[in-house]
Amino acid sequence: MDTENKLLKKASLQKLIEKLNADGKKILAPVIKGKRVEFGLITSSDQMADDYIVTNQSVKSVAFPKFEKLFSYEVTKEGITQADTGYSTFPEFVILGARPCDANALGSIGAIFNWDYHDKLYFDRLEKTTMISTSCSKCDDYCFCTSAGGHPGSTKGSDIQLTRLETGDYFAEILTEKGKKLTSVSPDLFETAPSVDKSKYLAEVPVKFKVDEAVAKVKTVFENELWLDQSLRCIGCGACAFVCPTCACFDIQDETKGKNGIRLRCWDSCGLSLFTLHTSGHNPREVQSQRWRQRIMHKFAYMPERQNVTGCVGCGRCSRACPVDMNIMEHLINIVEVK
Amino acid sequence: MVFRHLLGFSGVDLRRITFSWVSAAEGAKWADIVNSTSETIKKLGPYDSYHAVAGLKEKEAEYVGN
Amino acid sequence: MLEIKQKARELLESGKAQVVIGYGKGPNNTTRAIFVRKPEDADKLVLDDTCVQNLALYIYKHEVRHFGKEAVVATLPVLRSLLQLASENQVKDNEIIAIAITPDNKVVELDSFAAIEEHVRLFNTGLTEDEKDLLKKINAMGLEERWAFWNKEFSKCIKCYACRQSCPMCYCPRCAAEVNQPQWIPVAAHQHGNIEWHIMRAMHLAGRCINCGDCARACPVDIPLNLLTYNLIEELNNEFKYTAGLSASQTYVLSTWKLEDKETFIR
Repeated sequence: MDTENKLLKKASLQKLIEKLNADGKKILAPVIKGKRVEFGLITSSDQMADDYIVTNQSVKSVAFPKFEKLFSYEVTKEGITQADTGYSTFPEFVILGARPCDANALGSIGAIFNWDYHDKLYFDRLEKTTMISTSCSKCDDYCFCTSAGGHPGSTKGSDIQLTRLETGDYFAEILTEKGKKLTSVSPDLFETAPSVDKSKYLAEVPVKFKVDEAVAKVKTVFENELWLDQSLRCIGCGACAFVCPTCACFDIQDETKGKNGIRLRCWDSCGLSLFTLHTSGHNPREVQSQRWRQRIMHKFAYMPERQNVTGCVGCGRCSRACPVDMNIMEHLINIVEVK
Repeated sequence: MVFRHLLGFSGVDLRRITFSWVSAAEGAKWADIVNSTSETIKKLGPYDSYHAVAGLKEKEAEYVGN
Repeated sequence: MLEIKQKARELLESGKAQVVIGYGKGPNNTTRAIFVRKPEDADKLVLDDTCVQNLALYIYKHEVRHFGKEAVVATLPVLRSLLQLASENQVKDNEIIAIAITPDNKVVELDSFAAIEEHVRLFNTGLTEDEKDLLKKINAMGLEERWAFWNKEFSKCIKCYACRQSCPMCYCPRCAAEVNQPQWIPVAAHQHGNIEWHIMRAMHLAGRCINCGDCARACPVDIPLNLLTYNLIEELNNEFKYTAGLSASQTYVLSTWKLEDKETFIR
């Protein structure tokens, strides 16, 4: 579909939120929670956080929550009956105010979840989600989207993108059929757009390295002492993976109560020592430097190779969340600079 | 004692928890403690605030934000 | 700060230590742990108010230990962690060199547990008034309110285990949360799993936590985990006059019995 440019006035945004809520859609937007900014349900535009770079946690939870039921089962005299969780039970979400890196990242997870198996749960949830991103007018020292194939006004993965103008109104790009469908609930709110130079409103995120260079280099440094040097201070928690918008690893667990049970999947991380532990006691990734290497290799070597996307969008969340200041951008620069 | 205190601090209802020391020779004491504990708990009724998080149904909770 | 650098350089040059674990600066002017192995790199060490991470957890990290004899820039929590780890037979005497600062800002080299014990006695190791006030706030809540408070906090948990991994006392190669036959603690980050995990974690630190606060600092979703440990520290102090991390030879309070122990909880 050709992009349609519209103008969404500040007051119209509130009306749009009311309209969508009345239609039974749940609206997730960045809200202030203590010292953090996180996605939360809103019913009014005043609840939205105004001044933020990115939310602390990513938007991936909308389609890949921290835990979700795969199916439930019951043991009866006749045998085991099973009930799948399904499409009809998933709520319809509208995400309002995700950053372009976040919108882009859902595609990277999608590439994993559609590789050797089509993950119905993920895509069903995504199908019921409409992504309205807002372009970035600011960035911080952790942002490096321009080094990871994105940019502050990238529309990849968005259904609609809003760019805030100096008047407080929004320049709205309607990018997909899904986006168009959303505007159709209240077409009069989307007015004819003036001619806008979008780039004027975007943050300048300095390019630290070229993504192709990183992808090419990372393959050549598998046996290099830099992994050890970089990961000495890594304590092996999963904070980086769990705030990451593209990390897709999960564990599967059964929980039972009497004769009833549910099978859940929940987030897991290659940084945790038990991730690769075998039943025999052997662990192919025995030390943290190997686990750190895996994290970077997966994002910059294996995913480009297998899924033709990078597993990093340069949002910098992992570096901000890391309790011991592992800085992915710094470490990627180190890798690119290896002679 | 420390664990009991920690549970209380975490908001667990301590009226529902009994710690005791009963020797194998103290059958009557054992019966007393079990009876009085179950009586107290019966009077308190179901522990709704705990069941509200520990049931299977609750583990299917819908995502409402981070 | 200059003295720290000199001391580190001296230790590395003389071969008394092969690695100095200390604080340095990251690219965004952040403070982070650094591992100095060459004397000329000692200049990278810093020591200021931002140096709060408890470095004691690195002394037993496989890759760090592999470098050889370790020295560590030791703030009070690091020293107390070393003593606590010693009392749990995780470090041997004379195995680690602690580079510590006296109350009048002098750099000293402590290479035995006895020296560390003596040094720790120079400092206040109790809860601060602010910490006690936070405890009072929770204790003043009614039952329902307290349950709701912790439920709200725990609901944020994503089970990343940063609290566990940042804690020098959490050195078990296989955490009780990861024992799966049977699975004691649900793995998923639902409310049930989160409550059980945090209560279990706190209980395993009873009498062992030296109040460095790293669990709360590490938490990416800002759960006030240190409140749980303040509570235990206070309780053990009130009931058993016990403080963790003051001596390398003290026995674990919850596995020893004394005549004067109160038995008020047994009916």
